Amino acid sequence: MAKPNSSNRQISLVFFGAGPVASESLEFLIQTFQVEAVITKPRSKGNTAPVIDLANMHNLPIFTPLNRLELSEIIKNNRFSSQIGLVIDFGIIISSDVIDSFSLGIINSHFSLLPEWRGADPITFSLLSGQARTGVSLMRIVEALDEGPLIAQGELNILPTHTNQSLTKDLIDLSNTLLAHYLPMYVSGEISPGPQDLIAKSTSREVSYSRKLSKNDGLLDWNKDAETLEREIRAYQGWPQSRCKLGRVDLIITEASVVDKKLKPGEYQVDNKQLIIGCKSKSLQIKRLKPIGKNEMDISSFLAGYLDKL
Amino acid sequence: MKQGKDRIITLPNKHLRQKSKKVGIINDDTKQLIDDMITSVIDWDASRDHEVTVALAAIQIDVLLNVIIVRDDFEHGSPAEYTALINPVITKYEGDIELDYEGCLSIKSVYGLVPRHSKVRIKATSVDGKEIKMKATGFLARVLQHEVDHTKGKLFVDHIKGDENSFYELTSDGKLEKLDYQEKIKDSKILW
Repeated sequence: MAKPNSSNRQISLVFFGAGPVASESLEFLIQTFQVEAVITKPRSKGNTAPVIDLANMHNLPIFTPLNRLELSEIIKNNRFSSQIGLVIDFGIIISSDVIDSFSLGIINSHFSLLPEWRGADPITFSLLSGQARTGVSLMRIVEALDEGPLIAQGELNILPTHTNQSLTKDLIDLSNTLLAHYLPMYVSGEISPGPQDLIAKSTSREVSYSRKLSKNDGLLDWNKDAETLEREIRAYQGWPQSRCKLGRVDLIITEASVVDKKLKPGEYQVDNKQLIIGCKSKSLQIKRLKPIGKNEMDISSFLAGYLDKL
Repeated sequence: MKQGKDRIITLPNKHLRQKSKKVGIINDDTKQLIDDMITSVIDWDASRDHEVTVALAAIQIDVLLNVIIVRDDFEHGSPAEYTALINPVITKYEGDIELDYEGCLSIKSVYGLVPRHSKVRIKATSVDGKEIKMKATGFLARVLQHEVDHTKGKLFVDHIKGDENSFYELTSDGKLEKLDYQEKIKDSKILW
């Protein structure tokens, strides 16, 4: 087997990231580039800290600022030799003194086709929107949120079966591929970032914003269209999850499909081992669900155990 | 007989699609085979500006025996030292499926973005007859999967056949560029 002489290994970077997406990306970056240091959030009680665990495993220097001020202090006090920073799934705002401390700036891998879905939760919002395609954007960050110039974008199709978790996984793979390919080209000066509005014009993509979800987003509102609710169920998997109450049972719906049956919003019908709930237009046939506090189950097991409580 | 890099056979040579035979006894012939494989690889590397050989299977110098050599350090510029594995078998595939670029000395100018398991367990015999069992992760796991495939007559292109976005070529300045699948790969008389 042959491989190209890897000049990528000579690229040194400082990594900023904290969540599960960050740790999966970091694992790939460690194999592909030189990671000089890992800057992440401190371990908080009761939560896992996958980035810290991974960085420890590879004996990388770890810094854990609580906020943007502490982050600026860390950068001031440690003269990193890397020309470039890389931020993925970090959760702390990065101020311009930190950005400017790297001669090639800080690159963010953002999981949408910018300028679509700027902000904290692009994956969920691209699923909710029902759009057919999404992707990953590599952007040189500026202080304004997700408005930096773009280095590269990669697209993928959103499948009708994609849940938040499965789409996230596919986007991480795409992000890794883009980083391996385009980061070296950016560092060597072969490509330079282009402004988002140019890209937006040529692709007729419009600026849109995602936001952090709250637990209440997960409440199923039967006055919405069945198509919308089906997408919510896939988009909210993991968190906040799609919840409702049927009869005396509190439920989390994990899989459903749209059926043509005409029922009033919120009205439900059990027949033929099927559970169908009316929405604003059409209805949802529930396939899999989780009574609160119980394991996930398919609809026939649920009806066998809970029919009398509905 | 041909020497050095010229011993390396390439597609469409049908021998590459054959299954290698198990080595029964490790003797001087086996050691000679391993020496020849190393000589071929070092010679091949010397002729390449932007590639390094990380491993080779015996069938690639047209010997249908289950022997592979793996470079000890994969980075360009590191000492060209190799470990031979005789009768290697992957006993377990583990971990996630990861994509990375692979080329093959027996497939001219095509690179592929190939899905492989991130972890494997392998069993083999060393050149001094000892049984080796090891776990491999990351790029080494990939290399071992690629070479053990050779001993079964399988090539990396077989894993990505039909994937329009997985075929690349290494340009003369050492960059990987995507190949047009429909035009260059799909109906290639050499590859398939």
